[in-house]
This record gives sequence, structure tokens and C-alpha cells, in this order.
Amino acid sequence: MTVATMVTLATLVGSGLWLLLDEDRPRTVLGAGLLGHGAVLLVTLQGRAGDAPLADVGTTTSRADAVPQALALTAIVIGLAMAAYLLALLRASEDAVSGPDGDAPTPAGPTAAPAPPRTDDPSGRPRDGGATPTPTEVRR
Amino acid sequence: MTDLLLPLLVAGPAVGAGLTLLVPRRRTAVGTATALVVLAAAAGLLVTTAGGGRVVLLVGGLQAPLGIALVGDTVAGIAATVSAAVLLAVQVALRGTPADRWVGTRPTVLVLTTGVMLAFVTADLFTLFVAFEIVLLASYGLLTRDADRGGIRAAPTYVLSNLVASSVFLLAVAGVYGATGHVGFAPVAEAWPTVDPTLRTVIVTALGLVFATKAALLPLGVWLPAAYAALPPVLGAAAAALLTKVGVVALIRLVTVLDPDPLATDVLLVVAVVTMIGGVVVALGERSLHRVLSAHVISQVGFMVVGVALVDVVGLAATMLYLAHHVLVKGALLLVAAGVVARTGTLALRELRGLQRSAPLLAGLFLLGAAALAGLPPTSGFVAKVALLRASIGADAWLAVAGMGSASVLTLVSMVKVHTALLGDGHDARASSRATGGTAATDGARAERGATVAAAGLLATAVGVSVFAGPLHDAALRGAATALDTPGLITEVLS
Repeated sequence: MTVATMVTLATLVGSGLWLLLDEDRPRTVLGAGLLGHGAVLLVTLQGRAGDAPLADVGTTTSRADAVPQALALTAIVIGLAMAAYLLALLRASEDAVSGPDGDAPTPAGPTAAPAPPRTDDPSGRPRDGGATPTPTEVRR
Repeated sequence: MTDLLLPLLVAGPAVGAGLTLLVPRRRTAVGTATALVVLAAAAGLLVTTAGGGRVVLLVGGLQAPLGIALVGDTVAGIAATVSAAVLLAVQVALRGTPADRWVGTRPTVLVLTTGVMLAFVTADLFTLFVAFEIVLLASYGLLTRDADRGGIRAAPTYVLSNLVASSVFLLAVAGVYGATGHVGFAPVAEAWPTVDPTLRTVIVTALGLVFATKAALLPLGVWLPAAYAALPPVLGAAAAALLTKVGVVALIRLVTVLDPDPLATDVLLVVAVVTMIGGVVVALGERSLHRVLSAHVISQVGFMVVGVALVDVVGLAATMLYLAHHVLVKGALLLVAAGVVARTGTLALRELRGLQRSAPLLAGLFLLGAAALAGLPPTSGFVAKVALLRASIGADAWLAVAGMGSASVLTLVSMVKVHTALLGDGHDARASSRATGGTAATDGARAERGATVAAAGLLATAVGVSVFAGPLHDAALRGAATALDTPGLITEVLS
């Protein structure tokens, strides 16, 4: 393990943990991702380095150990799925928090009827366009 | 031939999940049939391994250090059988519930089962990691399906704490591979004594933390009550019965394969005692039925882990007995809660007054389950707790004995508190909710019937556990001896 990889590993894990502790939820997702990548890097670094582990490249002894690469690949796939899921979850969770009971009180009337599901509205703005944006929307 | 039971156990629910999606109109039938197949496979594994010994399958026929090994022993057999029983009960009880309106509910529960079964029978650290991820992703799906139930708000904590645990798990797997050149239990166990003691301690600690998070040991189990309470009670039954048990079985594998030093298991014992008491204290403060039951899951896991921390045959056997009892009874109690919801539309203890009179069957089932949970004789809880107490006394673990005593008394208090809430002359809340009529009322009646039947079935099985406690305990003893016999595992898998 060279110094460069060790520094990379420490940076990934360290900044991952730092971001995880952040109050801002999107940053925690980023933190979880970095931490995961740190773990994947450590897995990749195990085992022998060498030629590409293909049948017609190098000799049995000169080829790199393929097992950690297989493990890392699996972990990356799972990590990507988790990150995507987590982002979708955060979006939904913000909607739930700023939804009917988390909103600032709106005047009774047609707009006070159950809010239209915002998840299928890519702009993230209320459809009627008349209401003032909630604090969450301002932040976005 | 019997080794084919292992892939059937894992792939069965996965195929079932696919079929349920292919024929969504028949999802009740397909889901129930799949659960029956899984139950048959699990029972087959239990019967095959009851005499001690293992079933080994090298996936794809690849020889051991290269391929992935699946190993079924009595530990896996007992855990898989009771889990499959709960799966079946949940598939029956889902009928007519609001949760079943989403086509994806049954497939997701089946995928969850796939992960759970894989975690029980795998003999490979990395496969265990994958199994955990399958379980988690499925449980995230269930948890966040009903956004208005607060699940969405409970989810980020749950997901993040489990995501961190997964990363630590992966770091530990990297450590194991770096130290031994393997991730399979058998080759790792073979190379383990030659590994540097400091590195061994680091790896065991990391894995212990991960599995403790999955098993919801305090203080790492803080994610549990909010997450479970956000689930509809039917799915709560699946989660409470299956999720944490994966962590317990993983802890069993950890202490048997990686041979931790006595200090580590002493710490585990203390954590277990703190967990069993802390869980009940949380439960005492809760005011709704399924929150009380969810908090008790934490406490019960503490009981199970005591047996694991003793690391001897008697302790592990007691843990297996307790696990069987707990999964069945906890599943049944949460299904009773599902029945109560279907009937009254609420789970707040304050509003459940009079249930004893208006729904004597549900209240009676609850009383039976509560007695078992508190460990009153002659229920399965009593049998399991006696086994655990004898194991602790035999190992001079007096802290555990004291902890179990106090936790049991507090559990009884908590259960009496809940049952008292069901007595008395309340108005029947159902009368108002059902009076609205229409399909909602028939669905409610159907859901209540399903939940009652499923809960009664699970409780009957739990009664079976106490009736056949002798033979079951003998089988658990032989299974524990097998699980602790690491040299046997090494020869069987590697030869």
C-alpha cells in the first residue's frame, strides 16, 4: 500500500464520517457514500497486485488477486443502489415534513385541500403557482 | 440430496417474489404457497440436522476456498423454521389489510425472507454482507411505502445507521481478507490462530459492533422503536420476528468462528444485560400497543445474546430455544395488534378499553402471548428462560441472572399494564368505524379474521415448543455443539 492510497483512504473515510455528522441531510448521504467508497478501496487494496486477472494475460503468479476485485465490484453496485435510494428517500421525507401537517398554516379555501403529490412534479413548486414557497423550497 | 434444501430456502422466496409480481391478482395464493414451500424446506433442514451435524453445499461445485459455501446446521434450522412460520402467518394475515393494496407488499416481504434465509445458511462473510443488504433494502421499501404513516420520517435514521454499519462491515471484511486471504468461515477459522492478536481484536470488535447494530443491542439499537412503529402492524410482525434475529445468528457465527477473547464476550454479556433491562424500560413508557411490543423486541434480543455471550453448548442451546419462542410469540402478538387495528382502527392503549368484552378472542390471544412473553409457566417463554437461567448459573454469570430476573418482572408489569388497558367498560371503537359499512368494513372484517387465524396458528406452534421442549432442547444442545465445533466445520467444508 503506497502512501498515496493510504492518504486517499484516510481522506475518504475521514471526510465521510465528518459529513455524516452534518445536520444537512444531503450532506449525510454524501458522507455515507464516501465512507462506503473508503471501505471499497480498502477491500480493493487487499490481495496481490499485478497483471489484469484475465486468462491470456501474464502468468498465474503475475496476475492480480481477482477476489477482492469481485468483492469490491459487488459492494460498489450495492452502494450505488443505496445512495440512489437514500436520495429518493430524502426527497420524499422533505415532502412529508413540509407536507400537510408540517406546512405553515395556509388560509382555508381551495388551496387548503389535500396538497397534490409533489413527487411527480419535477419543478418541485406548487402547481397552482400562487402560494408562497415554503422555507424548504427556498432552500432548494 | 438434503443439501438442495439450502438453495431452496434462499431461492424459494426470491422466485416466489417474482411470481407474485407476474400474477398480481393471485398474489395471496402465490405468496401463501411460497411461504409453505419455504416452511417445508426449513422444517426439512431442521429435521435433517436435529441429530447434530451439518448440511454443506458448495455453490456451483467450486471447491471450498474458491467458491461460496452454504452450511445448514441446527442453529440455521431452528431460526429458518420459526421465521418461515412467521412468513406464512404474515401472508395469511395480509389479506384485506390496507398494506396489501400495494402489489409490492407481498413480494417485498418475500425478498426480505430471501435475505434472512441467506444470512442464516451462509458460511461466508461477504455473502453475509450481501444478505444484510438484501434484508435492509427490502425493509426500507416496506418502511417507506406508506409516506403518511410517519415511516418516511423514521426512515432516514434507520437507513443511515444501517448504512454506516454496512460500511464498517465492509471494512472488517477487508481486514479479514487481508489477514487470512479468505472470507469463507471455514478457511478464515483455519487461518485465524496465525493472525496478529491486535488485528484480531480490531476485526472482532468491528464485526461485533455491526452485528450488535443489526440485532438492535443498546445503545446501537436506537433505530428500532421508531422504525417498527412506523410499519403497519402486520408488517411489523414480519420485521420484529425476522430482522433482529439475523443479527443474533450473525453474532452466534462470530463467537463460534472467530473465537473472540473472554474480555470481548464479557463486554457482550454486559451489553446484553443493559439491553434486556433498557428495552423493557422503554416499553413501560410507551402508550400504544405496537410501540410497547416493538420496544420489547430490544429487551428480548438482550436475553438471546446472553446465551451467545456465554459461548458454551448450554448457553447457545438456550439462545436457540429462546429465539424460537420469541419469533413465534412476538409475531403472534403483533398479529394480534394487526387484528386490533382492523377492528378498532387504533392502537392507542387509552382507546382500547373494553376490547376484552367486545373482542374476547383477540384479547384472549393477547393474554396468552403476553404470558409467554413474560415467561410465566407453562408457556414457551418459561421453558426458554429456565434454559437460559440454568446456562447462566452454570457459567457463574450472576450479572445475567440478576438482569434476567429484573427484566422478566418488568416485562410482566408491562404486559399487565397493557392487559389492564383492554379490560373494563369502554365503548367499542369498532362499532363506530365499522358502522360506515361498504367495502372498507368487509376488508376490515377479513383482515381481522386473517390476523386472528395467523396469530392463533403461531401461538399454537409456540405451545408446541413448550410441549416438545425436551426433544427440542436436546436438538438445540446437539446443534450448539455442532456450531461450536469449528474444526468440524473446517474439515467438512474444506475436504
